[in-house]
Amino acid sequence: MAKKGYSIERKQAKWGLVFTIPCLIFFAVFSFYPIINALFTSLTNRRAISRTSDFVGFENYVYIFTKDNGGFPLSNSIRATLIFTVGTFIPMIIASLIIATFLMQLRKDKYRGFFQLMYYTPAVLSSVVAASIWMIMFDPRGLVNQLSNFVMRTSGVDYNWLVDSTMLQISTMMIYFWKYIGYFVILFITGLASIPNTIYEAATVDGSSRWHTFWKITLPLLKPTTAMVSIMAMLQCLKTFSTQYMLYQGGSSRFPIDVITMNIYFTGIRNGRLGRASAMSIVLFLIMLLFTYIQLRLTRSSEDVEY
Amino acid sequence: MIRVRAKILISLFILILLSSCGEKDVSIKLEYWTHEDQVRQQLEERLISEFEQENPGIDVVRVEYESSELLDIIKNAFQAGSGPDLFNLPSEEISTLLGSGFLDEIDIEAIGYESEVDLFSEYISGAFDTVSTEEAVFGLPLECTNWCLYVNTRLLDEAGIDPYSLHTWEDIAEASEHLAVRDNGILKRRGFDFRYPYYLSFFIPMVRQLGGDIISPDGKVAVYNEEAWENALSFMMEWGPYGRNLGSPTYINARNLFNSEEIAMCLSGLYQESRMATQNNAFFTSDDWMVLPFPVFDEAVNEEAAGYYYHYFMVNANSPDDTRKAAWKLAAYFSEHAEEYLDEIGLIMPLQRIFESEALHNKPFAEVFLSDFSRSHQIYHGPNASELQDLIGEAVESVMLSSVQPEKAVQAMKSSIEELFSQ
Repeated sequence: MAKKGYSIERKQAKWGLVFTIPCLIFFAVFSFYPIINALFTSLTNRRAISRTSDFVGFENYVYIFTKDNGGFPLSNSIRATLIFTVGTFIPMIIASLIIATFLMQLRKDKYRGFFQLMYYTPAVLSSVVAASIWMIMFDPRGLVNQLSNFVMRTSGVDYNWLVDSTMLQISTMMIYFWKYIGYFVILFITGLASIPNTIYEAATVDGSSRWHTFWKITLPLLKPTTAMVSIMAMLQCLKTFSTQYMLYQGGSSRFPIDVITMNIYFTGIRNGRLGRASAMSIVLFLIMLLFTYIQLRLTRSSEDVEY
Repeated sequence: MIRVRAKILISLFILILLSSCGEKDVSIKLEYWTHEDQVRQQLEERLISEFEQENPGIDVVRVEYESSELLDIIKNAFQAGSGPDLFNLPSEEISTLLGSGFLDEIDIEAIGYESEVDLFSEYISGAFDTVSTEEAVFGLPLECTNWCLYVNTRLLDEAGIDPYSLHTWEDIAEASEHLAVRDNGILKRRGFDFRYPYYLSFFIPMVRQLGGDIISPDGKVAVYNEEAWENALSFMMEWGPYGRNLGSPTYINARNLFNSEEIAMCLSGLYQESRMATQNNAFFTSDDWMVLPFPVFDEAVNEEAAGYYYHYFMVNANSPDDTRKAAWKLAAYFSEHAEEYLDEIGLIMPLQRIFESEALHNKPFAEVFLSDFSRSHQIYHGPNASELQDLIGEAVESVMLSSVQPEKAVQAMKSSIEELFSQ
């Protein structure tokens, strides 16, 4: 019997490997190779529209950390990226958890489905379209400025949503928040749905209030989902590009929203300095690796959850 | 099993046969990449179809990209070993490609000339400077454009402003103050606004009017005459949202609003007239608009007009021989129809015969453009021109949008430009 079981396991493992191979090939070609290529390019003085390049060691790394890169230093990009990430992903995690919890309270599935669809719709839109819609709304005559005047009880004040450095950063956060919250709501709903009802029933029998149930049952059992969602959201925020790029294309100042990916684009694609841009992308990769490691360490106990 | 396989094979064979039936007998497939322009698209698509009829073996695919992204897309395509066979770029974006090995040397025979001298003699002086090196010429001019001041006289009349009193930038600012429609601090309609982000075309001439320049006359100093730069930037700072709030790069571009009469003045080329005719013919045929010379500062030391620029047709050196020949042939075919470019879309090809033609001189306000042309210089098109424009833009936008002091903006820009040139 034992021999037969072993054989089935081996057979399954073999098929598992067969199904995994395309994915591994995909990752190798589209992820691992570009990372290694970027690492190699970052050690050269390669320029776009140039057929040759020389090995320059760590010159590009020294440059991006010590020079102002034509008025757009990497230090400013790291600042812009971190402010954007912290300002977007923390509110997004909290808000998506709250919305998902409320949606799970809806008794009729069709209402839940409707709201899920509504929240998810912006995620389907391209970032370019999303940014274009919001640029109209952020116009001094647009909805957001009117709403700001209403909330602040002012009249005819231009809050400079696309002009002022601070407001511009908030604008990018708002666009991103609006666009991606639905995606994370869906992930949280999936996590919430996987918590067995029997646990809630037992809590109700024991006289637990909804508030108490949320803090003592829902939240601890949702830890694996929260960990996954927060890592995904953080990585996505660190890689943000199109929102900032579209606002810049719309005439806004680049400096306050010059996130690392945008600096990489301008340095590598616009200015043709591929070696320097690759060095920046390696720095971004290391930042993402570091933050993911920290977050995994912080949420390590989450894997202990069992229903 | 064998029968099933046989059926599949026969079906595939029939499918291949059917799919090949619809194809034209094409030996050269030519890809032409250009910037977006709705009016030019109509003309060129007609010309392309005529060209294809005259040359049955050539199939042309015309692809449009946003003008601000065309160079990046072409560069990356070239880098990846692909790209268009024929494309066009403006003066300030050509230095990036010149000497890269990706540009094909002009094929004199394919464009129907006997020699370079023969070709040059048909064009105005300097028309090939941007696309020439000591060894070769790499492009055929598509257009030569300068900007003047388009004015909506009806809106000016309503505000009690005489358009002929507008000569200086200070006059424009004053008039814009009267023409602006505001709801307290919110600017609902502008009087005039600049053409961001084309700073080489309008801002550098403003700096030159005050005695400054990108490079000193002896070629040794970048950001020559800092005081002139600071004064020009101070004007822009005053213009922006934290100054008199007369305009901003974040608003919808002025030349688009001009056609729908939502702004009183804008800067544009002769081609604006065709766009007006297409988008708002009633306005175009009315007496409610005119064109004035490019303004100068009150204290100008030079009567410099807006910088003029060229667009050039260029060919990918890595395309096959017969495709390159066909590409030059198509570029020449477009040039043969220079009169239609002028008549239908208001683009001036820098051919002697066009500059001397009645058709050009009979265009409304063409004389204003030609007169300004004589007091202007071609925009900077030397090494790193495109990056230089970005750096100048950053300085202008930093004073307008982030209230950076002009002195500080000039110093930051100077150090960036010096670094750029040193590389």
